[in-house]
Amino acid sequence: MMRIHLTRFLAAAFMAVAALATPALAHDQQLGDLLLHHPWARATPGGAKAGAAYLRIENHGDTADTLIGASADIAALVEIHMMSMENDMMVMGPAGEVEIPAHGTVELKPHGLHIMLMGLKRPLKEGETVPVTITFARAGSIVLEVKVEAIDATGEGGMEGDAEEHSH
Amino acid sequence: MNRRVLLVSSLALVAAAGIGASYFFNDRKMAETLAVGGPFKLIGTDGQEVTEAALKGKYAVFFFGFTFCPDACPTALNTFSLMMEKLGPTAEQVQPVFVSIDPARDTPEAMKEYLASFDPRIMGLTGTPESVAETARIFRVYYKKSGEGDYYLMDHSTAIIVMSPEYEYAGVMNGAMSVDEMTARLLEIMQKGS
Ligand SMILES: [Cu+2]
Repeated sequence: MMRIHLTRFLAAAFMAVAALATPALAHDQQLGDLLLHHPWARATPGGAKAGAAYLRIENHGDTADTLIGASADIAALVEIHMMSMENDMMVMGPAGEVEIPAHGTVELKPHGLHIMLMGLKRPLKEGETVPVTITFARAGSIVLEVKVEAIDATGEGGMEGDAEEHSH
Repeated sequence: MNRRVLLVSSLALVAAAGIGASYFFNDRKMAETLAVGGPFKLIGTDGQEVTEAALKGKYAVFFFGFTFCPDACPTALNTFSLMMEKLGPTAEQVQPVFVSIDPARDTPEAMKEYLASFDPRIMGLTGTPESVAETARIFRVYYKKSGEGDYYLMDHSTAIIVMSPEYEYAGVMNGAMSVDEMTARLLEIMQKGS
């Protein structure tokens, strides 16, 4: 009796967790020991000639790696950039080589590290997937499938954000 | 000098410093002492001349940025858009203004196309390099070109300056604020001013 209830409870709980853990937008890619979590970009405003792509890079290996560059057909020039605030000034420029420590994580996200797409040949449209290649010193290159999200996306899980925005 | 005089005068000094600090951090006093904001002559998205006269009667909310900006500028403009929605009827008293600090790229046409992706109530302004520099100076907004060639960038201040319906400095906000924070801060500034 008790046992059946517990099994049912666990099954229900598992399904609930499974449902939560599969957000429609998140996706992962793998390159050697590197897990590339949810590459995404914001849709760009009309005529914008610059955009940015973000992702989380997890190194599950015992050796550090280095992000050394990026390229994409959609933009004339692609660089890894760092944006930071210095005395109320927004300062942005090439980040140089970015180390991904062994068993460490580096997050590219708004207001920080990003893949800067300059000289966009066309706008980034919500819903499309744009190929962007990133290159690591050890692991080599991978073509990221960058999902273009809404112009107001924050990358912090669109679903929760939406729920908050529309609740009354 | 005896001990008592020394004590009293150092207390006075501390008090004076305290008053100075509180003046400095008070929005209105800051305006009086530093004079943030003032007259400008810029160009609107239809190529027309726009001056501060176009803003009188409303709370003008100024953000300085540029369209070749992947993050801070679209975020701030998006926050403006959502804030205008959130304000409901109160939005009629508010005029968001986006001033380009990159007039070499941001022609009136480019500004128009860019702003079409945001709330139509946002006013876009650009101008000659001189008139933009002068406007930024008056609003105490700093910017600096970085890099060369086609893909240069602009470092810039993300302060958002609010001017009252009488076109006097009313307060300051920040482009990194969330919609809720910015809306609350603007309402607070508007309440204080009335
Ligand atoms: Cu950048």
